[in-house]
Amino acid sequence: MLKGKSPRKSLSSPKTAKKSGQITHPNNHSNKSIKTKLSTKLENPQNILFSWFSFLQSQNSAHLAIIFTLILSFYLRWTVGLGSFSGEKTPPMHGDYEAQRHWMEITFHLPSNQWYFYDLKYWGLDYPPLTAFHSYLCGFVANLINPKWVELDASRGFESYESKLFMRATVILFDFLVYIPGVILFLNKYLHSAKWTSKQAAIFIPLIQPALILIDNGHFQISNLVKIGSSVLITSAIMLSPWISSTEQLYQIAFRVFPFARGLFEDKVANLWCVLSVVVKLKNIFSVDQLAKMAAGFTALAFLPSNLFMVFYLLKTKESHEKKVHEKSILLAVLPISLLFVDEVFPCSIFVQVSIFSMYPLLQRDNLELQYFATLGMWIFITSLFPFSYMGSYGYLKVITSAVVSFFILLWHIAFKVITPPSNLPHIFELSNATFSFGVFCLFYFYFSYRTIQLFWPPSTSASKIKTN
Amino acid sequence: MANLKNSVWIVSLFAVSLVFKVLLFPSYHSTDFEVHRNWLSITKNLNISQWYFEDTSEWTLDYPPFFAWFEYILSQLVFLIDPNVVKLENLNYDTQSCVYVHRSTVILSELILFWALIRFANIHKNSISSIIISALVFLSPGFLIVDHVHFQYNGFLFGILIWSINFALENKDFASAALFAILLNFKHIFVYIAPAYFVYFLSRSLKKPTYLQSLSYLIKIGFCVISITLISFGPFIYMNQMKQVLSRLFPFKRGLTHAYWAPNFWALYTVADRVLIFIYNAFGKMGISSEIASNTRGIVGNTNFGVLYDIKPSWTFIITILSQIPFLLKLWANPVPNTLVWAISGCGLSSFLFGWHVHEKAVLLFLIPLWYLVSYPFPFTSYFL
Repeated sequence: MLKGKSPRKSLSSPKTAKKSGQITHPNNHSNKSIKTKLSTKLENPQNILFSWFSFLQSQNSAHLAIIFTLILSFYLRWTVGLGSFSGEKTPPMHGDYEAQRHWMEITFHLPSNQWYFYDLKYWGLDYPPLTAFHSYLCGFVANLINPKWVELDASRGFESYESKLFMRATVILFDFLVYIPGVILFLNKYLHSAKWTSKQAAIFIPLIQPALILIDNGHFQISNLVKIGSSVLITSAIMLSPWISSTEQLYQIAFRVFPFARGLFEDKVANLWCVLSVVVKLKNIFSVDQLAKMAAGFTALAFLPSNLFMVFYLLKTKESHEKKVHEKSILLAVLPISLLFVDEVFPCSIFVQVSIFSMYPLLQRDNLELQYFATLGMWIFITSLFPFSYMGSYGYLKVITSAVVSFFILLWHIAFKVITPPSNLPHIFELSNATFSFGVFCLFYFYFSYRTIQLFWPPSTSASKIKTN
Repeated sequence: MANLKNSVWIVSLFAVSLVFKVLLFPSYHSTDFEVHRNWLSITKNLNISQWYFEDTSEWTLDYPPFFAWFEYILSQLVFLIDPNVVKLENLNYDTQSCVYVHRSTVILSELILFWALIRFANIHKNSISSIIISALVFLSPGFLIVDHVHFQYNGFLFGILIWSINFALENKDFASAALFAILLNFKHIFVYIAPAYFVYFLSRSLKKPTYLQSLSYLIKIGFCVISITLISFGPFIYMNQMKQVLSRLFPFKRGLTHAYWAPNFWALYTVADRVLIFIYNAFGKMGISSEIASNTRGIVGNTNFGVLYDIKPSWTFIITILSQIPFLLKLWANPVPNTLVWAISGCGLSSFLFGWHVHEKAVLLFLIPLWYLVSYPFPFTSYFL
């Protein structure tokens, strides 16, 4: 890795490249044009997050930045975990927490050929094998601590302070083992030439991003996280691979094998992402930045299924009272977006805001309102709120969008508290929430498509700008 | 000065702390939660003449009158939101709404601390170190754990102390003395650091050029302190209840060590006694056993010793004062605000080490003033924190 860094560095600063006359990349020109376009945007916006990191830099405490970020993300995860979880004290079926615990129980006690067949009516295992192995691992540790937590059949619906602590801890542990290193590796590579503050901000955002924390550490879920975390890891591994020195071959192989094992069972988002970036990398046509953009673009494409899901959800709730929890599927979209925070500050902020909002009905059922409001407030404050917002530097369109979105969310919450829905429309609030969120997601779908196209065929003006520079 | 605008750090510090503290709402709370809930209901439902007599709950009112009034004001607020919280007979009432409402009052009362810290930074022209100190105090794990998990109002009380120190830093001595008197009437544990204030003002008065000025200075300080104390205790003196009030405020029936030992001198003393009992019994000299059951039995009661002398409250005070003398001498010689902060911290430490029935939480008493000293070039202060 160290070997690989030096040529990239010389690329990153145009002055040194000019002096030495090196051209290490065949597609140097377009690469630069994007860089410059990005960097004009990255000039420290008047935002609390950027202020914080430039403050640390000015105090010669840059090395502390990542520690603060990690501590904060740990604190948020742990304290959100203090709240209740889905299905707490609601027998006979409980909720997602019980599902995860139940999987630990069956994977630990049963041979693997029974995993997908055992009493499917009670939270039958319906996640890919990697999740099953993960459950087995957790079940193994749980059994060491207290066998009662994962006793076969007898432990159904088991709830205790200690077992909750254990379950919460497993989520956080895997967060810190898979998701967080993945994010950091990816962004370090992706933004290798960006300003230090931007890089730190980019790392900060996905780590404290409330949508994920609320679902994983509040509502309770591990698998989504593992999936996305590993896909992030895979992508970063692939992106790193050309620069990994020979001594680290083994490391690399481990990562290389990983996607094959996973790819079979991954959903389309991750597959498309990985496959595409592998192909493009081999052809060596596009730069790292473009690759990530494309990945984001295709993820945006893949929003469509999840949005359709939401439409189905709408129709379903209209007709029957069956409530299938599809709110969480938005996580798939939210995560890649939050990885792109520095490039797309404003869209990312609004998008995450709305996606947290879209999960409110779910969280409200889980009695996680307090955590919801606290983290949503924090998100708004950190990413977009007056007086640290971009209002000065950004156009009216964005200000108005932001105002409309925030105003609607506020209004909706007030109405939800004050008004009891009429008897002929019992799900009016859930419906209006989902409709609004869907509308916003659609808008973002088009916006990100537009951005992707723009990145593939950058307008000629930016190229001419480079020349004059 | 870096690119840190004044409003930026103030607003973000508050926002961050708000998120931190709100997220702690569902966490564990100790019996102090019920103690304060009971006080809310006492002050809400009873006439002032009964405040210090009420004993439906075992957690009787044992803070000075200002704190009772503070609870009275809070109880009016809480009553509007959840009337069940402030019912006397609702012992151990801790529904989610009750906990959330009650915990919000802690955050609300901490605004005093927040304001004091902003003022502190302003006095130091918002230098980086003063801002960092403010942030460290406001987000201090001590407050997070003791106030927002365990449940107490230390943030509010230390806010008053910091206000008092702020005034001292600005050389507004009378305001400083008045605020400290108010603080004492909120929670009398701060009497441990009163010697520092006493020496500070006395020494400052003697440094005045003429005797007349010294005298008028002292009279003004005395007037501030005495009038505030009269406002606080006056009604109880009038109702002839002082004996009852004082017995509630200073419960010497409680033992030398708290049910959960503070790591102080008396903890070592008790351990030494245990070891000696063990040795005595091993040599079969005499049977000291059943009566001296366990000092850590978790009930607030008297502490008896088997071999070593039983400790009387007065002795602990003498030892505490003696151990405070070095700090006080230094302050006497040089009565400037910075030395006052030093002495406050030192006196707090002495009381923690040698005081009677010290709670482990009392560590805040010297910890918080010590934060002030972080920016001074004393290399060892940071080790305490």
